[in-house]
Amino acid sequence: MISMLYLMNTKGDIVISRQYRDDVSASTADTFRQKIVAAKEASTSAPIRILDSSTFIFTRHLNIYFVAVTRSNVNPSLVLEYLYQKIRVLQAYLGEKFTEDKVRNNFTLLYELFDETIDFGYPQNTSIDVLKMYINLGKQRQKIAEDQGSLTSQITGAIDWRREGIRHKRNEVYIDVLESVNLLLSATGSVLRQEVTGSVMMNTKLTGMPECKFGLNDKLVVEKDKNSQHAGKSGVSIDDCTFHRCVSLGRFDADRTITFIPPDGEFELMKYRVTDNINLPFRIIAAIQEDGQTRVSINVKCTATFSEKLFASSVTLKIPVPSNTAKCKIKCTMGRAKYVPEESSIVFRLKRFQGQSECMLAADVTLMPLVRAKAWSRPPLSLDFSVPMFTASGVHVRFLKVFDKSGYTTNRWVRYITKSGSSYCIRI
Amino acid sequence: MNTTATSRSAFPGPSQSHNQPQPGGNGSVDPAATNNNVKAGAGDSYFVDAKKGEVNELRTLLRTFSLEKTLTRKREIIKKVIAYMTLGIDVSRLLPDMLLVIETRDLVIKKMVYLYLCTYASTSEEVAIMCINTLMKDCSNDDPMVRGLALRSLTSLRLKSVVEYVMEPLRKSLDDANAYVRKTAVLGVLKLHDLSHPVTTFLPRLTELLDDSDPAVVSNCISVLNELNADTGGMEVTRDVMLKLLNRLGTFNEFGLAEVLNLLCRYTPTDKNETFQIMNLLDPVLRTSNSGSVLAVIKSFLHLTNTMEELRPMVYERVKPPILTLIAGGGPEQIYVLLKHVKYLCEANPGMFDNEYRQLYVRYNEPTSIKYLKLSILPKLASADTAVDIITELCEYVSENDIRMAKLAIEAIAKVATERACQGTTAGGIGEIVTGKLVELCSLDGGPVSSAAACALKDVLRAHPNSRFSVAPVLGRCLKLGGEEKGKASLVWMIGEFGDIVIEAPYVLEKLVDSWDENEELVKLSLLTACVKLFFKRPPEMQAILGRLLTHATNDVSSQDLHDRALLYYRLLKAGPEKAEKVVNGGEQVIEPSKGFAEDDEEATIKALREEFNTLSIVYGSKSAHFIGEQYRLGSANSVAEITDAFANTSVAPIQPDVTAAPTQPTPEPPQSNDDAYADLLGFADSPPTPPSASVPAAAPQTSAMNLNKSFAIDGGKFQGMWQSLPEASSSMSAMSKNYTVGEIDGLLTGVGILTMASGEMDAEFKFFLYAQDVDTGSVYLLQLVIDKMCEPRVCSLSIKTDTGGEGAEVVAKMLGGVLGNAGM
Repeated sequence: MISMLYLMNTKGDIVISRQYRDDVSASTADTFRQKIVAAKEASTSAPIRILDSSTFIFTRHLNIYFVAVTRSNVNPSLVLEYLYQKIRVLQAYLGEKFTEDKVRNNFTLLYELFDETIDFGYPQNTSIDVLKMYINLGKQRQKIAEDQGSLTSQITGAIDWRREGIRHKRNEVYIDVLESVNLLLSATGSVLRQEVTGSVMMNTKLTGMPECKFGLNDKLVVEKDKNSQHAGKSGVSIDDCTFHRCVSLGRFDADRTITFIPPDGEFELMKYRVTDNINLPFRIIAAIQEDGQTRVSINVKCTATFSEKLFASSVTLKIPVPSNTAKCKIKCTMGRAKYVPEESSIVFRLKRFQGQSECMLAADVTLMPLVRAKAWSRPPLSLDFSVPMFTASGVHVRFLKVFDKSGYTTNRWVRYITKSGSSYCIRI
Repeated sequence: MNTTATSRSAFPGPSQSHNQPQPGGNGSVDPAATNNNVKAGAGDSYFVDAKKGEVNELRTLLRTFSLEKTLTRKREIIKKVIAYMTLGIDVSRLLPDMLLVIETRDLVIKKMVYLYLCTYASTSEEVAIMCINTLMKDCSNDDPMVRGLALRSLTSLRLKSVVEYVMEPLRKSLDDANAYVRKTAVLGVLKLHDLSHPVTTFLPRLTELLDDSDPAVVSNCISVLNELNADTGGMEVTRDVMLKLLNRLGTFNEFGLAEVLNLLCRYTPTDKNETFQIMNLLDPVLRTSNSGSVLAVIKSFLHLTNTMEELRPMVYERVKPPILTLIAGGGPEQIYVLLKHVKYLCEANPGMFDNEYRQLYVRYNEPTSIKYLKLSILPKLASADTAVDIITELCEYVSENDIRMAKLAIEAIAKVATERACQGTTAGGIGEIVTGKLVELCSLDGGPVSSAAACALKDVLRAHPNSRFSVAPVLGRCLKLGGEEKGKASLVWMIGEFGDIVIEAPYVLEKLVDSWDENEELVKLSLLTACVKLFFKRPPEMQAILGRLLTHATNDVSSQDLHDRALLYYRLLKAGPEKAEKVVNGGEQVIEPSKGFAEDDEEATIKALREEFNTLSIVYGSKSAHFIGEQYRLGSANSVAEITDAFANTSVAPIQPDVTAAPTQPTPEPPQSNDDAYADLLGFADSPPTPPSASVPAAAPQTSAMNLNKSFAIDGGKFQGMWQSLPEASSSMSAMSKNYTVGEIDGLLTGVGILTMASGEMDAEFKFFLYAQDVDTGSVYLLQLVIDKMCEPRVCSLSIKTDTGGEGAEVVAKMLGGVLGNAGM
């Protein structure tokens, strides 16, 4: 159980705190400040630390640390999950990028949230939709007073992610398939690691309690009904996937159909991971040569492998150069490139990159001579990009069916986007 | 599907904005709007000029509360008080005034006042009692929200004097029609229990509530019953209850799910069929994107297959993909926790993640804590097939700017050569590759990286002595490059060890001997060992050098250890070179590569940690008994069974100290006192640490089993005489649970009457000469305690001599162990 929860800024001041149990005192926060925040260890320290026989589990949102303190042998991933959800709840109330000031100005709300999400150290409900209904936030409650009976049952009810009686004029579902590609190529061009993590984001505006059925071109499903209309198409083999709570998992395991009653508004329906047969959107060939102690010559060719009907946006290629670089002479066929000393790299930006096209960059780097020659560590070259309407894994949405008693028609919009993951790197 | 096709080509307008947060449906509160409302009302003004004197102004303001006409003004006043509280200013003086405003119909004000009460009620009990009436009235309000709120506040006041008033509303609320009130009431019971008020009257109702229609009530009920029955290991788990819970698994939220699954880990199914059914029920949960739940399921699987080893491989295979997915997509902190579990699983079940080693490569832009953790996992994944790939990858990390990272990478490379990967025929090959890489790094530049490589090389050669031929030629050159103390010491050690094949060995060492004072202490120490070893291999070249070295070393006053060791070698050599050689080169000590070093052996820990999977124990890599205060531990049913088992199986009479002499702790004695008493004599491994609140001196008399004379004194000469004449009565080794300093140990031992004759700190160890006298019998005990601080955890070896002929030595050893093991975890 969580004994105390507090938000601390990067200076180590407590922004707001709530104590759930008597077994820790406010001075534990001091311990954390001295040993972690003041010691400038927060960025390198492990996120779970034991200090003075209290365990601190913390995460960070912008400049605020969310710290949970406990003295018992808790389930750490659950506590972290709680902290993440807490941040998500605050984002829903205070905006995506809420700051310390925002928190301070809404302290009454914060206290309410502290109290409703944890009681005596045990996490209760963190569902944003439900919380919204019984957090007063200084506003009159009359508005929702009439459906109070149904409301409180909802707070703890079985389907706690959706209320009854939601109405929308136009019934719409937006589906975003977001993929991020992680890649690590060795200097010789062989793939050391590649992986696509995808998530299907949904934004539903549907009336009533509709049941939805959703299908991807999952290999297992596609192969099963090969004889029917999908003959000839091959599916994507998904290594593993996880779902939002609303998906009935029993049915997925039985016949791999994804059935659910969606929450209202935006949510992440599923996450998946693919490691085989990945269409890498860019191919990069880099030749970086160190000529003696004072010169480095760089030649990079980047080819877009996706269809020419599509285009990638905001492509940024970072080519590392030694930190003692004096001058860079850069030539490129398109886009803009410049040397950024703070990052010790040449940053090459392309606003728009047509499919099937290619671009070249050549640079002559002059180095300042060093008193003590030190070998350059040759960090990897990294690429950032986003390609709309393209999926690196080849996943696409086959269908989304919405069934409701009233039998309305639904408009469905699907969008795909592939981005570079946390690391899309090529060693040089 | 049609929609997909059309939208691909022409994505319509609304999509542009559909990623924006949408306001909730009809009737729900729009956060953005209310935000502004608060902001407009509150502004920054709360946190400006907050000085102590303003508390008085606040009081004046509060007194005008009833005169204020508008609700907003009234709220503003209360809000100001709470704002001060948030800033950490003590506003407890306002308690009487706050009590006056508690009679309000406005829920917003109510919530704030209740919050204030919960924080400050304990500062002035008599005054706070005045609010009870209102709270109790609210407990029977028509609005369930108000009822819940009032009950939560009432039970959170933490006032002993109020408890009797709480009982009645609590009893009623447990039967409330509304689930929100019921779930609050359930936790209320626990809060009373926490105030040490008897709550047995509620137990039947709580057990009934396990069947409640609302999952939140049920999960709270489980938490509460677990804590109420903490002494017996948590709530009683029957088949009936368990099956009911499992059948409604889908209704619980992630936190409730975790409670249920935890409960499952204490339940043993009646037969195999039931086990399979349960596992099938749990399987879908592995697909949720909540790592807390997924890890809980894995723990349950491990528990359910406890008696069916044959199913384990399937379980491991099944749980692998979800873990990797979570690692691929989670937040950095969550990834850290998951990786810790991966590390544990790799240790418990070698080979599990071997095929996925590429997934665990370090990414360039990860948080450092994750990078370091991955470096410790990668060598564990190396099998005969993948070792080369992993070594190549690890070499890439060496060139990174982060020195610590580079060092860890080098350690990891060495680990590959000394661990599992090097079994059977490929062992030599991998050893050769690793040595090659390390030699390359070693002769690089004499910086920290080279030094780390030298240290690693030493370990690798201990496991692969055949590789010494490729190392020998470069050692001299590497040493010339210089570097850090440890690295140089390792190089010197290797030159001594393989002196027969390092041609220039005597001349390299001679240089160091002649520039004696410029060397660091560690280098001097290994130089001593190296020269002596080399002397046996190449006497003619070394004789003169050794002579000079011994003169230097015995005259060196900077280190006691160095001086003593030099004298030891000197006396050994004086007794005759053949005899000395026998002692110094005490036989070949090649370690088995597949088994790893003895200090890395963690079999017992791994087994113990299985019970504590998905808790902090895995993160810290140590049993909860070592870091969690006693009152926070749930006595787990399994460990109770283990103890009784151990007692049943043993025929050795437990060596029990004279327990009548001292009050014993109420906790059951851990199994250390039976057949493994000798190995665990000091009780460090399993001894329950005293609760952190207990101060150190208080802990002392509890473990005292013999009455020792605290004012007893002997002089140094007498001690030395007795030490040399008496036979050893007892000796033992044990791992220490905490790293004490010399002073701390001194203090702790003096507390029980074990007095210090001499103590000192050396590079690698602490050394103590201790003595004690039994008041009753007058017998004297002499002790020597050596703590090796290079190991993690520290290992201490204790030898005891006594004039009683051995009687009582064990008791003294146990007392000493008790003090050092028990104090202030």
